[in-house]
Amino acid sequence: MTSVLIVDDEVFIVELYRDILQLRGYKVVGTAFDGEEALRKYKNANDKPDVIIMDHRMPVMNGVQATKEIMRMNPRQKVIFVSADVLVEKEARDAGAVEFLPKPFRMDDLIEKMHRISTQ
Amino acid sequence: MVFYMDLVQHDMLNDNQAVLSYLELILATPGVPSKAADYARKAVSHVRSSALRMGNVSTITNAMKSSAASRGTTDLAETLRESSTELSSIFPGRNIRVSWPQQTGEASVVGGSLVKELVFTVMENIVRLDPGNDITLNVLLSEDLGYGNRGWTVTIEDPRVNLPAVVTDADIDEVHTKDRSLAVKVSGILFAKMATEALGGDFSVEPGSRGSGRGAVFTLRLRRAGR
Repeated sequence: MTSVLIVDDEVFIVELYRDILQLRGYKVVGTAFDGEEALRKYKNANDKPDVIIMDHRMPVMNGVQATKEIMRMNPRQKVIFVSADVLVEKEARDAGAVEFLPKPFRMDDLIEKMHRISTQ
Repeated sequence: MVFYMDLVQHDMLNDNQAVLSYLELILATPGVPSKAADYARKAVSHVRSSALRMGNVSTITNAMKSSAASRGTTDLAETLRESSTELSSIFPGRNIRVSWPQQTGEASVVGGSLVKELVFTVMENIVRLDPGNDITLNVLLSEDLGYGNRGWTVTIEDPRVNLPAVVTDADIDEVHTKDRSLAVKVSGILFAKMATEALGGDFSVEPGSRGSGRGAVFTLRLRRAGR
């Protein structure tokens, strides 16, 4: 089962992603509400998540910075970047994100990207 | 003011995300009565239109802050294919056909996700202005040799779109000064003009060629990536 770490500062968005992903058979192994918390949890995880869903605009450390740090630790980590800021797409991809989803996205778009990444 | 608008739009897009996704979860739940499903599909359509408009505002607010090149590149051919598919899902109950007989290979242009938003916004606005239930959009994608061989041109023709004459008679930028009640119907076209120019390209609208007073051809010229 594909494991996922969800990173977003809005509690209701984290809950929403969890609802969608669990319904479609993905295993949510952790959540974080800012980039620094995501880094800490990622570093401490014995089993790294297969996929990280990463927001951008968050307190303490933003998504692009967190993605860069995670990619430094594990260049093969799969990150799906999700943001209402479409202009941050290039930065996110340069940081190492393999996919970018502008908010609001359709549930099927997220699932399709999850499926594509997890079967690569 | 710009900072405040940016914050509000960001929050509203997050809220729209939640509304949209929970409606989709309801629709995916087995046993939903068909009438309730119809209502939910209509709600999804309106949430997505609303999100598109808010996204447009946010994009234009931010577009001037960065160079076109910093936005990355995108495949215009793939964008057209995705937008064509997407259109039907945003207008449930309307039969939309995108006729694109001479599909090309990759057509890489400058602009990243802004190009996707731009193309989809134009198509969405055209469909909104077409009074019919059966809608055909004729698409043509070609290398733009007359543009210093630096670009790709997309034309989208709707032979039945009911476009306010003020859009073709006047400079698009000035539509709001001519008739605000009409300007609100073409906000997507205004966005397209501003966004295309922010990417170093250009955008124009010509009246349909059949002399019926209906129909229009929308032309987007975008910069080829790497030039």
